[in-house]
Amino acid sequence: MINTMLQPLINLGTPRRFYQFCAFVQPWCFALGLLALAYGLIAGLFIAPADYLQGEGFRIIYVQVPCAMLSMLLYVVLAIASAIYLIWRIKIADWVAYCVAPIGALLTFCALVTGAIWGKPMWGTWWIWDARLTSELILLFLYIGYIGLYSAITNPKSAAKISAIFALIGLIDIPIIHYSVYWWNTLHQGATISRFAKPAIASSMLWPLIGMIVGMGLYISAIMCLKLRTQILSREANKRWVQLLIAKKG
Amino acid sequence: MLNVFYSCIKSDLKTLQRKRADWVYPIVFFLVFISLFGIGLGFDNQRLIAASPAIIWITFLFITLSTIDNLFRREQEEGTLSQLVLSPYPLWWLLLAKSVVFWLVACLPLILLTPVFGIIMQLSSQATAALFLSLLVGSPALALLGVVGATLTSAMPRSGVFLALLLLPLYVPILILGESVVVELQSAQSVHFQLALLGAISVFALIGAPHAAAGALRAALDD
Repeated sequence: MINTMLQPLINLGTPRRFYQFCAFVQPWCFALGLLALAYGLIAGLFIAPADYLQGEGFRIIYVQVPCAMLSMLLYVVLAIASAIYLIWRIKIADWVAYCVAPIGALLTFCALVTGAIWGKPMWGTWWIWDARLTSELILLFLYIGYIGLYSAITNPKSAAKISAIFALIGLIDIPIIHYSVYWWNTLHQGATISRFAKPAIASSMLWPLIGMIVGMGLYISAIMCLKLRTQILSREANKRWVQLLIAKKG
Repeated sequence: MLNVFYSCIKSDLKTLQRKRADWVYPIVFFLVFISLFGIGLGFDNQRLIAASPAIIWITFLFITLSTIDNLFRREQEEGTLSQLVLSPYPLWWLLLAKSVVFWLVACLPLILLTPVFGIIMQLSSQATAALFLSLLVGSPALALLGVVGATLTSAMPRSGVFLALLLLPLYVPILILGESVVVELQSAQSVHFQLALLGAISVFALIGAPHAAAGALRAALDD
């Protein structure tokens, strides 16, 4: 019973099926993502009203918040894929983790940079060591560590397993860092952190934000599909189905 | 099982007793490093007192890390580690024994020296006690995570800076909490909360780290 239910999923675990699945999903993700991004950008940058506290400067929220949210989400994806690889030894999971890491690192970097640009006019400083900023920075280090670990180990099987273990340790680590900084700041300095109070956001501002988040998510999925397809082709290059595919195309 | 644990610790300590340079140099280095900071900041006592918890903690962190990495690498070159993987006993148990040895060699001497550093760095006796306590509670986690880092990088030829990059995220909470113990006690506030958290991290590391290290070591050696 369970086997028949899981059969489509198990089939998806074979590189060939997964390749076809990615090829099918990619254009949809790409098109829908562009639509959502277009809506989010136009509505966010031109239509949404200016914030009464921050003026026009608040509009950077439409870039910064999606970057920050997705950077964390992608790390969770990375860690889950690593866990799947460690438990069930599914090759695809390892490739997903491998492909998602650079995208996540780039998003984290963008979130940090746009956050600093946002922080300068609003807080009066580029950087403060508060919980959210610190954990975002550590997240960047984790991504870099993962990518570095993966590429530094020459034996591909060891590389996959060792960096998967590292990714899982990092997943446990992020909340601990977040709360240790948070508690220390709240205990030690009280109200010095001028985290601006967040009133319930107006729906005219919220919908473009959701549009941006969904759009970036879909766009990243499309990029992931593309990366995974090249990854599958290069790693399975001497399999028969890949050679047939290339013969058909060329 | 317990016998294996003890004999593992005993043989490791005997080896280290014969190779004193491996663990004496880091202690000397620690002394030199802290003294340099003291000299660099020493003209301004207030600044020295404000910075010293951070300085001592960070120096402690880096020196234990490099000591553990060196010891680990030597054992790897000698082939002792592959013997551990081949042995019939559970690998994580043996690595736990190794972590205990590393803590005894790389952390304990430095912790015992903290009163001296307290004097050098112009700390009050209360702050020195806090430093001692925080290092005592936090260092098991440092040693255990150091072993994890060493096993994670054991498959690559030169780890060095890379090890620091991998372990930095893991050391951040310990550093923050450890330092905050000293800072809070300097301003005469209760530190139970931070010490309890630090202890929790150590216990958590005690449970999880040997397994992670065993997994990484097995993955590194399987060709």
